[in-house]
Amino acid sequence: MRSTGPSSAGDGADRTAAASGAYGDSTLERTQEALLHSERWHEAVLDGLAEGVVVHDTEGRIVASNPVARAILGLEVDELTGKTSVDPEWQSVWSDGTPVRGEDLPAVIARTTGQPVHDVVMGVRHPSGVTKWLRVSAMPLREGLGDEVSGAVISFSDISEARRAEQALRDSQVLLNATQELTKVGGWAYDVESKTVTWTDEVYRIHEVSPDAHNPNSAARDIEFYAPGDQARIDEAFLLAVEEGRPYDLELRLITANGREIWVRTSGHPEIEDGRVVRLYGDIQDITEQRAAKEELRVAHERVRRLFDANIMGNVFVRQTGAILEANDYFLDLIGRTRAELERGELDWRAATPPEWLPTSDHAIGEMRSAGTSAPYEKEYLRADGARVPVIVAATALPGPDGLIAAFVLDISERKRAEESLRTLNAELEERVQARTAALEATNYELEAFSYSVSHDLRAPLRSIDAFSQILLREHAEALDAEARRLLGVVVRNAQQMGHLIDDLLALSRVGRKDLEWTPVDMGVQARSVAAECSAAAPGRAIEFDIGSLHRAPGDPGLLRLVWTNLIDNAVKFTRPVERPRIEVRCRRREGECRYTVRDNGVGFDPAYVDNLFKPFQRLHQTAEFEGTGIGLAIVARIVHRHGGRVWAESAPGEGATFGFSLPTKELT
Amino acid sequence: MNVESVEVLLVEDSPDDVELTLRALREHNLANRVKVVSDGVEALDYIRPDDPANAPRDGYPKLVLLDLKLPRIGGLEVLRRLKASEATKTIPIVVLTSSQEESDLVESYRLGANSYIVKPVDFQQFTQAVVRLGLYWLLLNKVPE
Repeated sequence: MRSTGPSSAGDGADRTAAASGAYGDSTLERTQEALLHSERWHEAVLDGLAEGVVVHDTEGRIVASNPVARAILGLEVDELTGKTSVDPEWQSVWSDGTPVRGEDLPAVIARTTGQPVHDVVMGVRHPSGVTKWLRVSAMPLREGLGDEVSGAVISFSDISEARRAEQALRDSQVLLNATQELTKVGGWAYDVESKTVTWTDEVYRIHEVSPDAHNPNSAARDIEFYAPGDQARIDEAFLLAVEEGRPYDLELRLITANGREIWVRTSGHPEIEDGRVVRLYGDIQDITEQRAAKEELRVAHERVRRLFDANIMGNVFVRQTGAILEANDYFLDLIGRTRAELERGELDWRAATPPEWLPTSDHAIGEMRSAGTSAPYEKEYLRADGARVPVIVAATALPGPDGLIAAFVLDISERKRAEESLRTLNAELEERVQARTAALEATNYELEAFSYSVSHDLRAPLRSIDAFSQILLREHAEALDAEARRLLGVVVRNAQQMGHLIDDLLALSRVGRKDLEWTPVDMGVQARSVAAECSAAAPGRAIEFDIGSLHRAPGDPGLLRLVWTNLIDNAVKFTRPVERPRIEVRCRRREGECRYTVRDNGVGFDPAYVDNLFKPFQRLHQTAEFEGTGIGLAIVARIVHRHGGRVWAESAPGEGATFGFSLPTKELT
Repeated sequence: MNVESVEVLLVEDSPDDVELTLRALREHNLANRVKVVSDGVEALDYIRPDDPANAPRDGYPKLVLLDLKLPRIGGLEVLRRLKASEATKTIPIVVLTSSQEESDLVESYRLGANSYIVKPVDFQQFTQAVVRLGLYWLLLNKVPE
């Protein structure tokens, strides 16, 4: 866009100077005539020039000007003549706006130094405020053939318009460049005849190539930037565009000069003149990021789609107001509707919700408004056929003004059925337990009735046997011989033994039936009191009791006292043959229970039969040796078991015996 | 003391127990006049607790020995009726039974029994028990006239 080259006005000024020096040595007349002649000639030359020309004398005053100069400067001949370059009303500035000092003016330099000045661009500010941009040259003017400088010829042209155009072009190029950089769109052109390629800056940036390293004459080499797999496509498209004028628009992979693989979109548009393709122009854009973003979006979409279509659970997009916008097959099956109904916009979740469940849904929507999502909740859906489906729903409000909700719906019919059958089963079980309990209660009642009659009916005849045998012995002794009296004695003894048996059996039965009255029991006090009673019942025997500190335990005081009575009574009984009977009572606390032991130094028992000890009627000794019915330890075991404890016994014959029982202490505060 | 009046009413269905009880009382000269009835109906017919106008001609007994397990009307019902009547509630009633049932014991005292004695199987203990209660209730105990 530059109009360059040395100014022809400068050459003109030179010639003028040479011409003016030619008439220095003429006679006055000839000179005057010649002068007149040359002046006219000068004028004619000056007036014909396309540039403005003014002539300064030695003082720097303008002595001549041509019409172009006057037009550029906007002055008439008389206004211009006599004017100096250094005029306070006129201001000269350089391109960058700084003022030009007087001595730097081309005219002054030419005049003072005698050297020509070429093509200086400067602005001249007219008093009216208009600035004209001029390209100025100045030639010194010499008088005659000497070196004396007698003035200067200044030629100038108005380049204001060109300057503006140049500036506009620069501006638009900057803008284009910036736009290309911003949009990553580069432009290129291919001249078919010269086979030369022109790239914009952005094309270089995309290829990561510097303009110096690029050969504009090798379109083929440019194609090699494309990834090997894509080269054939661009090659063919380019060829078709050149030969058949077919435009193209492709997305291809490109390997930059730095070896980076990027995605570009490149297009080519043929320009046709006289039926021939003369030029291709097109653009190329780095779309790597867009493609990545698009790919990411596609993957995300695909994932959501997969989740939706997997039909693991119902997925729906709905409006708060009721409309179902999208639903997967799981959900449609669940509410017994078709995709066609969905697509016709006929589905409404509110309509498919039984009225009593709507408040639950609305509550969840309220939760979504404040928290974004709702906690999973149970509700029912109404199927098209009127059946109800129990479901569990979790939903989340989607951002945006539409009030859209994404919900996940799971059919829990199976679970509900399982729950229901479990409930039925439980109820049945409960019923069975109740029936069993009733049967047990009936049995218990029968047992009670039985023990009542045993108590009453068996004891009465026994008493008669005993009583009348004794009356016979006492009142009719003389009528009986010794053998008869012995036999009657056997009857009496057995009747009495049976009486004890019955009494003990009844006691055992009572222990099993009695309701326990729980209270903390002072075991030490009980053991000591029982020991005192037993001592009193065995007068003449010096039994040594050693009763340690005994923990309190929760239990029924009456029954626990019976435990102590049986155990201590036993110990007293089985130490009878021992010379120095000793009975030791101890207690230890272990693992949430108290363990009490009663240890004696009596006759002991054979541990082989220890398992029988706590069963009713099991005796390890002869009745003749130690009286008893074999019920006592069974009573102990039954009482302790009813308290949640255990019983045990340890012994060896002749080494005494230890009887122990434990009571849980958990309930003791 | 009206010598003509019945001193003891024995309500007992077992003839053996009647004989043994009478033996024990007489042996110690405790009851020369004992009226024996064998069930609850007879006992109520004799005392008529709800009909004082037709009280026994020779007056109410000084002591009732009452068995619990009786035919027709049971001992507990007899006890309840006697203690419920203003006319007969001061008559001392001793329950003399084979029953060791806690419920019988509790119910008897709740209805106002004056004593509850379990008949021992052993004849000697039985005799002792009858003698002691006869001594206490007939000789020592005082009741409003």
